[in-house]
Amino acid sequence: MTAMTTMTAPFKKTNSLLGAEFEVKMPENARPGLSSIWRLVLLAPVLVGLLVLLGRPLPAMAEPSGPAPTPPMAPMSPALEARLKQLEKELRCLVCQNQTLAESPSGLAGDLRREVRLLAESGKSDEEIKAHLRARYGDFVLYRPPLELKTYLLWFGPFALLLGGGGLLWWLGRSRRRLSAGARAQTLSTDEAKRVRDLLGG
Amino acid sequence: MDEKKSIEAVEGSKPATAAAASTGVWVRAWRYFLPLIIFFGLVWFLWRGLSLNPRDLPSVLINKPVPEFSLPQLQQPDKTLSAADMKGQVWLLNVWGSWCVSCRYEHPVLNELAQLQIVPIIGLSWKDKPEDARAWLAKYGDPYKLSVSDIDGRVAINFGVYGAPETFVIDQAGTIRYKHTGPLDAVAMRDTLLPLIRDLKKTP
Repeated sequence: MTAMTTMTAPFKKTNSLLGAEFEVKMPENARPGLSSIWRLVLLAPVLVGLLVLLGRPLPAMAEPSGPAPTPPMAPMSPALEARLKQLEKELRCLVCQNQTLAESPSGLAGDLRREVRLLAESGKSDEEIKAHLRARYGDFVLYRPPLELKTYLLWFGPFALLLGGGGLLWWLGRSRRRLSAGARAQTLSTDEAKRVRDLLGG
Repeated sequence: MDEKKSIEAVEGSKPATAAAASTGVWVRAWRYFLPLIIFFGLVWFLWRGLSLNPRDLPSVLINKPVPEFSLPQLQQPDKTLSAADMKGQVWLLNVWGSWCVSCRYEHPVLNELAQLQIVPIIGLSWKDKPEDARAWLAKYGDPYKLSVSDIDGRVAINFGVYGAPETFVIDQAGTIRYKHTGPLDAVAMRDTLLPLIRDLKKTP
Protein backbone atom coordinates (compact mmCIF):
# COMPACT_ATOMS: atom_id res chain seq x y z
CA MET A 1 0.00 0.00 0.00
CA THR A 2 2.71 2.41 0.95
CA ALA A 3 4.61 1.27 -2.05
CA MET A 4 1.59 2.02 -4.22
CA THR A 5 1.21 5.54 -2.93
CA THR A 6 4.85 6.34 -3.41
CA MET A 7 4.59 4.95 -6.89
CA THR A 8 1.61 7.04 -7.91
CA ALA A 9 2.38 10.14 -5.91
CA PRO A 10 4.48 11.92 -8.53
CA PHE A 11 1.81 11.41 -11.18
CA LYS A 12 -0.91 12.70 -8.91
CA LYS A 13 1.16 15.68 -8.10
CA THR A 14 1.68 16.49 -11.74
CA ASN A 15 -1.99 15.98 -12.45
CA SER A 16 -3.14 18.14 -9.59
CA LEU A 17 -0.67 20.78 -10.65
CA LEU A 18 -1.99 20.72 -14.18
CA GLY A 19 -5.55 20.74 -12.92
CA ALA A 20 -4.88 23.67 -10.65
CA GLU A 21 -3.23 25.40 -13.54
CA PHE A 22 -6.40 25.20 -15.56
CA GLU A 23 -8.79 25.89 -12.71
CA VAL A 24 -7.06 28.99 -11.41
CA LYS A 25 -8.90 32.10 -12.41
CA MET A 26 -6.45 34.55 -13.82
CA PRO A 27 -6.62 37.95 -12.17
CA GLU A 28 -7.59 40.53 -14.72
CA ASN A 29 -4.24 42.31 -14.59
CA ALA A 30 -2.26 39.08 -14.84
CA ARG A 31 0.33 39.11 -17.55
CA PRO A 32 -0.77 36.94 -20.41
CA GLY A 33 1.75 34.34 -21.50
CA LEU A 34 2.60 33.25 -17.99
CA SER A 35 0.35 30.22 -18.24
CA SER A 36 1.92 29.04 -21.45
CA ILE A 37 5.37 29.35 -19.89
CA TRP A 38 4.18 27.26 -16.97
CA ARG A 39 2.77 24.71 -19.29
CA LEU A 40 6.17 24.50 -21.01
CA VAL A 41 7.92 24.09 -17.67
CA LEU A 42 5.54 21.28 -16.79
CA LEU A 43 5.94 19.62 -20.15
CA ALA A 44 9.72 19.85 -20.16
CA PRO A 45 10.32 16.60 -18.22
CA VAL A 46 8.00 14.77 -20.61
CA LEU A 47 9.81 16.17 -23.63
CA VAL A 48 13.20 15.37 -22.18
CA GLY A 49 12.02 11.85 -21.44
CA LEU A 50 10.80 11.43 -24.99
CA LEU A 51 14.08 12.69 -26.39
CA VAL A 52 16.05 10.31 -24.23
CA LEU A 53 13.80 7.46 -25.33
CA LEU A 54 14.11 8.32 -29.02
CA GLY A 55 17.82 9.00 -28.76
CA ARG A 56 18.66 5.51 -27.62
CA PRO A 57 20.63 3.68 -30.26
CA LEU A 58 18.42 1.26 -32.11
CA PRO A 59 19.43 -2.38 -32.10
CA ALA A 60 21.96 -2.86 -34.86
CA MET A 61 20.56 -3.94 -38.18
CA ALA A 62 21.23 -7.59 -38.61
CA GLU A 63 22.83 -8.70 -41.81
CA PRO A 64 20.76 -11.74 -42.78
CA SER A 65 22.75 -14.87 -42.09
CA GLY A 66 25.72 -12.55 -42.54
CA PRO A 67 29.17 -12.73 -44.03
CA ALA A 68 32.06 -14.34 -42.25
CA PRO A 69 32.83 -12.46 -39.05
CA THR A 70 36.12 -10.68 -38.75
CA PRO A 71 38.52 -13.18 -37.23
CA PRO A 72 39.81 -12.19 -33.80
CA MET A 73 43.26 -10.66 -33.74
CA ALA A 74 46.13 -10.93 -31.32
CA PRO A 75 45.80 -8.76 -28.23
CA MET A 76 47.39 -5.34 -28.57
CA SER A 77 49.22 -3.03 -26.25
CA PRO A 78 47.07 -0.83 -23.99
CA ALA A 79 48.56 2.28 -25.58
CA LEU A 80 47.56 1.19 -29.08
CA GLU A 81 44.16 0.12 -27.84
CA ALA A 82 43.54 3.52 -26.27
CA ARG A 83 44.68 5.27 -29.42
CA LEU A 84 42.46 3.14 -31.67
CA LYS A 85 39.44 3.60 -29.37
CA GLN A 86 39.84 7.34 -29.73
CA LEU A 87 40.29 7.12 -33.49
CA GLU A 88 37.33 4.80 -33.97
CA LYS A 89 35.09 7.33 -32.28
CA GLU A 90 35.88 9.70 -35.13
CA LEU A 91 34.90 7.20 -37.80
CA ARG A 92 31.44 6.22 -38.88
CA CYS A 93 30.14 2.74 -39.37
CA LEU A 94 28.72 2.81 -42.88
CA VAL A 95 26.17 0.09 -42.34
CA CYS A 96 24.52 1.37 -39.17
CA GLN A 97 25.01 4.96 -40.01
CA ASN A 98 24.41 6.54 -36.64
CA GLN A 99 27.07 4.58 -34.87
CA THR A 100 30.77 5.07 -34.70
CA LEU A 101 33.20 2.34 -35.65
CA ALA A 102 33.96 1.94 -31.97
CA GLU A 103 30.45 0.99 -30.97
CA SER A 104 29.06 -0.80 -34.03
CA PRO A 105 28.65 -4.55 -33.92
CA SER A 106 28.23 -4.88 -37.70
CA GLY A 107 30.51 -7.03 -39.79
CA LEU A 108 31.82 -4.17 -41.89
CA ALA A 109 32.66 -2.17 -38.78
CA GLY A 110 34.68 -5.13 -37.54
CA ASP A 111 36.55 -5.22 -40.83
CA LEU A 112 37.16 -1.50 -40.74
CA ARG A 113 38.40 -1.68 -37.15
CA ARG A 114 40.84 -4.33 -38.27
CA GLU A 115 41.87 -2.13 -41.20
CA VAL A 116 42.43 0.80 -38.85
CA ARG A 117 44.52 -1.37 -36.58
CA LEU A 118 46.61 -2.79 -39.41
CA LEU A 119 47.25 0.71 -40.70
CA ALA A 120 48.18 1.93 -37.24
CA GLU A 121 50.52 -1.00 -36.77
CA SER A 122 52.19 -0.23 -40.07
CA GLY A 123 53.12 3.15 -38.62
CA LYS A 124 50.42 5.38 -40.11
CA SER A 125 49.37 8.45 -38.18
CA ASP A 126 45.76 9.11 -37.19
CA GLU A 127 45.43 11.67 -39.96
CA GLU A 128 46.85 9.27 -42.53
CA ILE A 129 44.42 6.56 -41.43
CA LYS A 130 41.50 8.95 -41.73
CA ALA A 131 42.69 10.04 -45.17
CA HIS A 132 43.03 6.38 -46.19
CA LEU A 133 39.43 5.61 -45.30
CA ARG A 134 38.19 8.90 -46.70
CA ALA A 135 39.74 8.08 -50.07
CA ARG A 136 37.64 4.90 -50.13
CA TYR A 137 34.42 5.79 -48.36
CA GLY A 138 34.23 9.57 -48.76
CA ASP A 139 33.63 12.29 -46.20
CA PHE A 140 30.76 10.27 -44.82
CA VAL A 141 33.14 7.99 -42.98
CA LEU A 142 34.25 10.90 -40.83
CA TYR A 143 32.00 11.65 -37.92
CA ARG A 144 33.16 15.26 -38.00
CA PRO A 145 32.75 16.44 -41.57
CA PRO A 146 35.61 18.58 -42.89
CA LEU A 147 35.02 22.31 -43.00
CA GLU A 148 34.54 23.11 -46.68
CA LEU A 149 32.38 25.37 -48.78
CA LYS A 150 29.71 22.72 -49.14
CA THR A 151 29.62 21.94 -45.42
CA TYR A 152 29.36 25.56 -44.24
CA LEU A 153 25.60 25.18 -43.91
CA LEU A 154 26.11 22.05 -41.84
CA TRP A 155 28.61 23.69 -39.52
CA PHE A 156 27.19 27.17 -39.24
CA GLY A 157 23.50 26.61 -40.05
CA PRO A 158 22.46 26.04 -36.43
CA PHE A 159 24.26 29.18 -35.26
CA ALA A 160 22.76 31.16 -38.13
CA LEU A 161 19.31 29.92 -37.10
CA LEU A 162 19.99 30.86 -33.49
CA LEU A 163 21.17 34.33 -34.48
CA GLY A 164 18.26 34.78 -36.86
CA GLY A 165 15.74 33.67 -34.25
CA GLY A 166 17.31 35.90 -31.61
CA GLY A 167 17.33 38.82 -34.02
CA LEU A 168 13.69 38.25 -34.87
CA LEU A 169 12.75 38.15 -31.17
CA TRP A 170 14.71 41.33 -30.50
CA TRP A 171 13.10 43.07 -33.46
CA LEU A 172 9.59 42.04 -32.45
CA GLY A 173 10.24 43.15 -28.87
CA ARG A 174 11.59 46.46 -30.02
CA SER A 175 8.66 47.25 -32.28
CA ARG A 176 6.27 46.27 -29.49
CA ARG A 177 8.08 48.48 -26.99
CA ARG A 178 8.02 51.32 -29.46
CA LEU A 179 4.31 50.87 -29.98
CA SER A 180 3.50 51.01 -26.29
CA ALA A 181 5.93 53.89 -25.76
CA GLY A 182 4.16 55.75 -28.55
CA ALA A 183 0.81 55.12 -26.95
CA ARG A 184 2.02 56.32 -23.55
CA ALA A 185 3.66 59.36 -24.99
CA GLN A 186 0.35 60.55 -26.36
CA THR A 187 -0.82 63.06 -23.80
CA LEU A 188 -3.58 65.57 -24.20
CA SER A 189 -2.81 69.11 -25.07
CA THR A 190 -4.19 71.75 -22.72
CA ASP A 191 -6.94 72.57 -25.21
CA GLU A 192 -7.95 68.94 -25.45
CA ALA A 193 -7.84 68.52 -21.69
CA LYS A 194 -10.10 71.50 -21.34
CA ARG A 195 -12.53 70.03 -23.86
CA VAL A 196 -12.58 66.72 -22.01
CA ARG A 197 -13.30 68.49 -18.73
CA ASP A 198 -16.07 70.47 -20.37
CA LEU A 199 -17.61 67.38 -21.93
CA LEU A 200 -17.46 65.47 -18.68
CA GLY A 201 -19.05 68.39 -16.95
CA GLY A 202 -16.09 68.77 -14.58
CA MET B 1 10.88 49.77 -46.30
CA ASP B 2 7.16 49.07 -46.47
CA GLU B 3 7.19 47.54 -43.03
CA LYS B 4 8.74 50.63 -41.53
CA LYS B 5 6.18 52.82 -43.18
CA SER B 6 3.29 50.86 -41.74
CA ILE B 7 4.80 50.82 -38.27
CA GLU B 8 5.17 54.55 -38.39
CA ALA B 9 1.60 54.86 -39.53
CA VAL B 10 0.44 52.86 -36.53
CA GLU B 11 2.91 54.30 -34.07
CA GLY B 12 2.39 57.94 -34.63
CA SER B 13 -1.33 57.37 -35.24
CA LYS B 14 -1.04 60.08 -37.83
CA PRO B 15 -3.89 60.15 -40.24
CA ALA B 16 -2.82 57.35 -42.56
CA THR B 17 -3.11 58.06 -46.23
CA ALA B 18 -4.92 55.59 -48.43
CA ALA B 19 -1.63 54.40 -49.91
CA ALA B 20 -0.06 53.77 -46.50
CA ALA B 21 -3.17 51.93 -45.38
CA SER B 22 -3.04 49.64 -48.38
CA THR B 23 0.67 48.84 -47.85
CA GLY B 24 -0.21 48.19 -44.21
CA VAL B 25 -2.72 45.60 -45.32
CA TRP B 26 -0.10 43.94 -47.46
CA VAL B 27 2.46 43.94 -44.70
CA ARG B 28 -0.07 42.47 -42.32
CA ALA B 29 -1.05 39.82 -44.86
CA TRP B 30 2.63 39.06 -45.41
CA ARG B 31 3.10 38.54 -41.72
CA TYR B 32 0.35 35.97 -41.70
CA PHE B 33 1.57 34.22 -44.82
CA LEU B 34 5.26 34.10 -43.98
CA PRO B 35 4.88 31.30 -41.41
CA LEU B 36 2.72 29.43 -43.89
CA ILE B 37 5.38 29.77 -46.56
CA ILE B 38 8.08 28.62 -44.13
CA PHE B 39 5.84 25.72 -43.16
CA PHE B 40 5.41 24.59 -46.74
CA GLY B 41 9.12 24.97 -47.33
CA LEU B 42 9.77 22.63 -44.42
CA VAL B 43 7.13 20.20 -45.65
CA TRP B 44 8.79 20.15 -49.05
CA PHE B 45 12.20 19.36 -47.58
CA LEU B 46 10.87 16.69 -45.23
CA TRP B 47 8.77 15.16 -47.99
CA ARG B 48 11.80 14.95 -50.23
CA GLY B 49 13.75 13.43 -47.38
CA LEU B 50 11.26 10.60 -47.25
CA SER B 51 12.17 9.41 -50.71
CA LEU B 52 15.93 9.80 -50.34
CA ASN B 53 17.89 6.72 -49.48
CA PRO B 54 20.54 7.49 -46.85
CA ARG B 55 22.39 4.36 -47.92
CA ASP B 56 22.80 5.68 -51.43
CA LEU B 57 26.19 7.16 -50.78
CA PRO B 58 28.03 8.58 -53.74
CA SER B 59 31.23 6.69 -54.37
CA VAL B 60 34.39 8.73 -54.18
CA LEU B 61 36.04 6.26 -56.51
CA ILE B 62 34.16 7.38 -59.61
CA ASN B 63 36.67 8.43 -62.27
CA LYS B 64 39.49 7.08 -60.13
CA PRO B 65 41.69 4.16 -61.14
CA VAL B 66 40.45 0.77 -60.04
CA PRO B 67 42.19 -0.29 -56.80
CA GLU B 68 44.97 -2.76 -57.47
CA PHE B 69 44.27 -6.26 -56.25
CA SER B 70 45.44 -9.79 -56.80
CA LEU B 71 43.14 -12.48 -55.47
CA PRO B 72 42.77 -16.25 -55.85
CA GLN B 73 40.14 -17.33 -58.30
CA LEU B 74 37.09 -18.97 -56.83
CA GLN B 75 37.00 -21.96 -59.16
CA GLN B 76 40.77 -22.41 -59.42
CA PRO B 77 42.26 -21.12 -56.15
CA ASP B 78 45.80 -21.78 -57.33
CA LYS B 79 45.37 -19.10 -60.00
CA THR B 80 45.01 -15.42 -59.29
CA LEU B 81 43.42 -12.49 -61.04
CA SER B 82 44.58 -8.92 -60.74
CA ALA B 83 43.01 -5.65 -61.83
CA ALA B 84 45.78 -5.26 -64.39
CA ASP B 85 44.66 -8.47 -66.13
CA MET B 86 41.43 -6.75 -67.12
CA LYS B 87 43.07 -3.76 -68.77
CA GLY B 88 41.97 -2.98 -72.30
CA GLN B 89 38.35 -3.98 -71.91
CA VAL B 90 35.20 -2.63 -70.35
CA TRP B 91 34.24 -4.88 -67.45
CA LEU B 92 31.94 -5.14 -64.49
CA LEU B 93 32.93 -5.98 -60.96
CA ASN B 94 30.04 -7.42 -58.99
CA VAL B 95 30.40 -7.80 -55.23
CA TRP B 96 28.41 -10.74 -53.95
CA GLY B 97 28.19 -13.41 -51.31
CA SER B 98 26.26 -16.63 -50.86
CA TRP B 99 25.07 -15.19 -47.52
CA CYS B 100 23.64 -12.14 -49.24
CA VAL B 101 19.90 -12.21 -49.80
CA SER B 102 19.75 -9.29 -52.23
CA CYS B 103 22.39 -10.99 -54.38
CA ARG B 104 19.98 -13.80 -55.06
CA TYR B 105 17.41 -11.24 -56.06
CA GLU B 106 19.72 -9.63 -58.60
CA HIS B 107 21.22 -12.90 -59.83
CA PRO B 108 18.76 -13.55 -62.70
CA VAL B 109 19.55 -10.10 -64.10
CA LEU B 110 23.26 -10.92 -64.10
CA ASN B 111 22.60 -14.29 -65.70
CA GLU B 112 20.69 -12.57 -68.46
CA LEU B 113 23.43 -9.99 -68.97
CA ALA B 114 26.01 -12.77 -69.21
CA GLN B 115 23.99 -14.42 -71.97
CA LEU B 116 24.14 -11.21 -74.01
CA GLN B 117 27.94 -11.50 -73.95
CA ILE B 118 28.58 -7.79 -74.22
CA VAL B 119 30.70 -7.33 -71.15
CA PRO B 120 32.69 -9.65 -68.91
CA ILE B 121 31.45 -9.75 -65.32
CA ILE B 122 34.00 -10.42 -62.63
CA GLY B 123 32.58 -11.56 -59.31
CA LEU B 124 34.12 -10.48 -56.04
CA SER B 125 33.12 -13.21 -53.62
CA TRP B 126 33.04 -11.08 -50.49
CA LYS B 127 33.70 -12.59 -47.07
CA ASP B 128 32.41 -15.95 -48.09
CA LYS B 129 33.63 -19.49 -47.71
CA PRO B 130 34.83 -20.59 -51.18
CA GLU B 131 32.93 -23.89 -50.92
CA ASP B 132 29.69 -22.02 -50.06
CA ALA B 133 30.25 -19.62 -52.94
CA ARG B 134 30.89 -22.44 -55.41
CA ALA B 135 27.79 -24.34 -54.27
CA TRP B 136 25.72 -21.17 -54.63
CA LEU B 137 26.89 -20.63 -58.21
CA ALA B 138 26.23 -24.27 -59.07
CA LYS B 139 22.69 -23.86 -57.79
CA TYR B 140 21.72 -20.48 -59.23
CA GLY B 141 23.94 -20.27 -62.31
CA ASP B 142 27.31 -18.65 -62.86
CA PRO B 143 27.17 -15.37 -64.81
CA TYR B 144 30.80 -14.55 -64.03
CA LYS B 145 33.69 -14.81 -66.40
CA LEU B 146 35.35 -15.69 -63.16
CA SER B 147 35.02 -14.86 -59.49
CA VAL B 148 37.77 -14.03 -57.06
CA SER B 149 37.68 -14.77 -53.35
CA ASP B 150 38.05 -11.83 -51.02
CA ILE B 151 37.75 -13.91 -47.89
CA ASP B 152 38.86 -11.34 -45.34
CA GLY B 153 37.20 -8.43 -47.18
CA ARG B 154 40.28 -6.22 -47.41
CA VAL B 155 40.03 -5.70 -51.16
CA ALA B 156 36.39 -4.74 -50.76
CA ILE B 157 37.47 -2.00 -48.36
CA ASN B 158 39.73 -0.61 -51.06
CA PHE B 159 36.69 -0.46 -53.31
CA GLY B 160 34.71 1.37 -50.63
CA VAL B 161 32.22 -1.47 -50.45
CA TYR B 162 29.79 -1.24 -47.58
CA GLY B 163 27.21 -3.81 -48.52
CA ALA B 164 26.55 -6.49 -51.10
CA PRO B 165 25.55 -6.39 -53.84
CA GLU B 166 27.46 -3.55 -55.43
CA THR B 167 28.44 -3.31 -59.08
CA PHE B 168 31.25 -1.25 -60.59
CA VAL B 169 31.60 -0.38 -64.26
CA ILE B 170 35.27 -0.11 -65.23
CA ASP B 171 36.54 1.15 -68.57
CA GLN B 172 39.40 0.03 -70.81
CA ALA B 173 41.91 2.27 -69.04
CA GLY B 174 41.00 0.75 -65.68
CA THR B 175 39.02 3.75 -64.48
CA ILE B 176 35.89 3.24 -62.41
CA ARG B 177 33.10 4.97 -64.28
CA TYR B 178 30.02 4.03 -62.33
CA LYS B 179 28.91 2.28 -59.18
CA HIS B 180 25.52 0.74 -58.61
CA THR B 181 24.65 0.15 -54.96
CA GLY B 182 22.15 -2.56 -54.17
CA PRO B 183 20.62 -5.21 -56.40
CA LEU B 184 20.63 -4.55 -60.12
CA ASP B 185 17.24 -4.75 -61.76
CA ALA B 186 16.07 -4.70 -65.36
CA VAL B 187 15.34 -0.97 -65.22
CA ALA B 188 18.80 0.00 -63.93
CA MET B 189 20.28 -2.30 -66.54
CA ARG B 190 18.30 -0.89 -69.43
CA ASP B 191 18.43 2.79 -68.45
CA THR B 192 21.87 3.16 -66.94
CA LEU B 193 24.30 0.29 -67.21
CA LEU B 194 23.77 -0.89 -70.77
CA PRO B 195 23.85 2.62 -72.31
CA LEU B 196 26.98 3.43 -70.31
CA ILE B 197 28.69 0.21 -71.36
CA ARG B 198 27.76 0.87 -74.98
CA ASP B 199 29.23 4.37 -74.81
CA LEU B 200 32.40 3.19 -73.12
CA LYS B 201 32.94 0.49 -75.69
CA LYS B 202 32.53 3.01 -78.50
CA THR B 203 35.31 5.25 -77.19
CA PRO B 204 38.47 3.21 -76.80
